Amino acid sequence: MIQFKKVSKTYKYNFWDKKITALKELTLTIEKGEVFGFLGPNGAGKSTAIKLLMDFIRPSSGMILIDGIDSKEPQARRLLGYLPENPYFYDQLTPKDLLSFGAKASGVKPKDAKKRISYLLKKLELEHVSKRRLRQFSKGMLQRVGLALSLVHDPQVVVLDEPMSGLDPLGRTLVSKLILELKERGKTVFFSSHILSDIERLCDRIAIIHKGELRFLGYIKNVISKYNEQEQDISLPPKETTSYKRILSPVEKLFIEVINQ
Amino acid sequence: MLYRILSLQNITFKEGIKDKSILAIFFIAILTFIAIIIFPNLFARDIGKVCIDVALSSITLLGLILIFFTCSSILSKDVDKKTIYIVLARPFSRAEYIIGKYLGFLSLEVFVITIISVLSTVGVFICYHYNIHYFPKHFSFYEYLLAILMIIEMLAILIALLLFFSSLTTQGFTATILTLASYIIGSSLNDVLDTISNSSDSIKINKGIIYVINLVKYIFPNLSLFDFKLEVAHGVKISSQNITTAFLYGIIYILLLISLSCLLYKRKEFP
Repeated sequence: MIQFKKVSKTYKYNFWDKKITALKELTLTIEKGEVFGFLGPNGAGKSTAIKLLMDFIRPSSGMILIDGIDSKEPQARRLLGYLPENPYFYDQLTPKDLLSFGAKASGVKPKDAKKRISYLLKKLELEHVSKRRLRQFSKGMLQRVGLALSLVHDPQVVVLDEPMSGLDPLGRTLVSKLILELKERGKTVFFSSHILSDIERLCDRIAIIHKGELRFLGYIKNVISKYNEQEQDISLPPKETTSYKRILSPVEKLFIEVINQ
Repeated sequence: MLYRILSLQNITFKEGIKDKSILAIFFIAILTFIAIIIFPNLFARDIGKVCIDVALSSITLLGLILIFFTCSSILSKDVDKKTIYIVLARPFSRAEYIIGKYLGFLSLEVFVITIISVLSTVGVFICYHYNIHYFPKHFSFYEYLLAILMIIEMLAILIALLLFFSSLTTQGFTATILTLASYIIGSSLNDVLDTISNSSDSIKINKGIIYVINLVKYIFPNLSLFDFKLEVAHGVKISSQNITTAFLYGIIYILLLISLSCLLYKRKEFP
């Protein structure tokens, strides 16, 4: 469904600055219908990869295909629903205005759009605030509105950049349920998160990226069977002076191991 | 494509019309309406001229406030706070984004200016009714409305400039400053050119300065072409040639700016 083919991205913030490589030849395929977790520490290149996928920025080399269509083509985004890491919206609008725009812009018929909007508002518990202006919303509420916007046209692929950030435990449960529902309906979900327990619970496959390079790609069930019930002495990166001995979840163990390599 | 563009035009208009600055603009418009009726009476025989000048100047001023506060703040949010992501995540091409945004700002401007114009025209009409002898002999409401249409076109050029500069810069604030600078240059360009062409031999102007000003003439829009305040206030008939020239010049300039913005946005990145 999504193919990254040797995608690299280098930035140069100023003319006199050195080039910074944010992504190095990322090659990755996300299959149709799978929930794919994209992991990595801060600044690893996760958001860069997602922005390249959405065509907000352009690759320095390589290409990205979405269901066989080049990601640079606007029609490729007809298949995508996207939630940004920090969703900012036109804050004078109401959730209804925003969702109505999302549906119209994606070519949803007005009749279907109305049904879909009321379904999503109910599903994400936003019905009671549907006519309130977005500037009055908390971060968690905006995150829910963003989720509703990403799903309003019932896309084939849902790209979520840190969907759990800013959500309370109830909100997180709601999003988790939503992701599982999408999976049941055969949708492809590509999401990045720092919350490893969520990744473990929801994903079929994960990729770990560090310093712009893909360091691990594999099925979550294999990770769990490899690391489960192992009690390891995990030493945190050398900069840390203290060593911790504790039981970590399989994905946490894998994550630390991969990053320390 | 049209459906998508109109959906963007629609939310841009909605975002603008609900902005607090619109309330301030309408409040100033009401104050201006009162000023149009009361203020000119202080000017004895020039009541008509002052009344028309205040009305047309206030329309221009409020239009500028709309562009430099409301439109530029919406555009800054798009560029700085990345509200553009919610648009570009949909199947919009960059050109559709520019056109949709431009139409949104333009419809906002036309809507606001229409309301302000109705208020000011009523003000001028009341003033005219009570002071008919102090109004220029050949004053016509038709030409007064033509002058308003030309103000709208001048503001439409500024909106296109704002979008154009936003495609060149990475910060919304810089685009606003550059548009403001262009407005100042564009409005005073004619006066500067007149000064140069009428300068006597005793006042020598550096050739380099003349070269730069001639270059500026072709880059920046000549906004004084759209200013018919003086003609309307003095009851001088506006020549149809001047109106047609200004109208076509404005349309060509806008199309050129929008096309350039589309090309530049096509390459622009939003990290």
